[in-house]
Amino acid sequence: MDCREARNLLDPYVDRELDAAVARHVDEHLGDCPACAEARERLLALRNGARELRENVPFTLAVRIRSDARAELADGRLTRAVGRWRSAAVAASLVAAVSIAWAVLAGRGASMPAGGGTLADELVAGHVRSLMAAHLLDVASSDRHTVKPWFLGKLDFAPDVRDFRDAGFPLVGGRVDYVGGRAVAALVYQRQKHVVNAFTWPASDMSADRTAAVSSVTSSERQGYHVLSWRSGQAQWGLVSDASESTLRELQALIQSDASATPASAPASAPASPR
Amino acid sequence: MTEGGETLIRFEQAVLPHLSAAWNLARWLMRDRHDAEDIVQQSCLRACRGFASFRGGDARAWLLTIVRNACYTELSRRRRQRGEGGSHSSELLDDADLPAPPGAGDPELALLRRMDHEALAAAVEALPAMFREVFVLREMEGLSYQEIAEVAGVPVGTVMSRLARARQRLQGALAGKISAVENP
Repeated sequence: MDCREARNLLDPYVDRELDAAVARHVDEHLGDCPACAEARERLLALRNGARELRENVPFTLAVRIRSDARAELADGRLTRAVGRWRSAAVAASLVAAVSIAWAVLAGRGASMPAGGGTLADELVAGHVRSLMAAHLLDVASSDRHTVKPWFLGKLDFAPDVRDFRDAGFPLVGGRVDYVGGRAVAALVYQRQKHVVNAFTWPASDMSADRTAAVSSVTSSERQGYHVLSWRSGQAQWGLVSDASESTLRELQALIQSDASATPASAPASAPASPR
Repeated sequence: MTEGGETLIRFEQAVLPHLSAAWNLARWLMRDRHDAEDIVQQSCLRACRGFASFRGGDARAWLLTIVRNACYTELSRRRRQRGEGGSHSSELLDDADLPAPPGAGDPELALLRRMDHEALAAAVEALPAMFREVFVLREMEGLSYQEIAEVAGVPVGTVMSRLARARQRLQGALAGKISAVENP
């Protein structure tokens, strides 16, 4: 093979579109010809540059499109009647549900039981099931004595539900969500204009000391959301919001404050101490 | 589960994974992110409405074809509005009209490796649309020649020649030896 032919074949060669035998001939020529080898390197440098320019879909657009798809394809009567903030918050919280699963599973010490199939299958299944639930809130109440019992019979554990309105994190309500094939409690807090999903489920790491102190907090960011996750005794927690990481850390501290207190020992009307 | 719910699940699983590919193609074809948002949102609605008749196969190519057609429709509409003709607009540039770039020599590898991303982005945007789309689909989205041919609605041979010329022009632009847009 001469240079002229090699140059003619160089594009399909770097695109792996050549027949294997022909590609081998080009390989051999490139091995012997620095000029043509450099031509190949130029194409690869161009490709690397192009890959850096590739953009992912903007998060807000993806959220809108998912809402649109639900409205078009599923029984969207209820959704269409709902205000714009609410459906954006629904969509946002549902994408956040997927985000937290990713973040937690990627982090250290995550105790998320795996269901059947690959991780991607579980995330999609959980995501779609939560789409069909179609709510940010299944129970809308700031009263922990309404929200906490609501979870009984829907979950195999009792989440730690507290209202932190005096510290700037009013409890808005809750719902059951699915992450990684496991039913989890999603407690919804509000911080000014931000929705914070506080996911909690039982830590399943049987070998760990179940009364151990709080594990170190794992912080990450996915698609513009901040995620904090940690384990505290028997409970695993994950916070997801578009609010800042420091805001989430405030809520994390509130959740951890007096975390070992049982409902019986905490006076029903005592506010959380302001931070 | 309702029938609508099942359709939504199928749509979510088959089509929405390709949302970024759709976005990226629209962004580079329209060369404007606001336009790209409108195009992608509109295209996805169209995909929803046409999804009942989608019988499986390559969902990415299907979605990208919708996006590509929406882009060209809008670009044509704007050209008509501006009173520009079709075939001698530098946007479309039929292969036959295009003179071969001058043999400016190969740009230095060292130059290319010090990749100036802004310069590359500008050079990609300066490509005529039909060169730009094959370059984006190949190098950013990793489509095969056959897949690009499907999306662009042209034969594989045309894909190959447009791609080769896109690459020549981009290398030349980065080396500063030829301008990426020929002045006819």
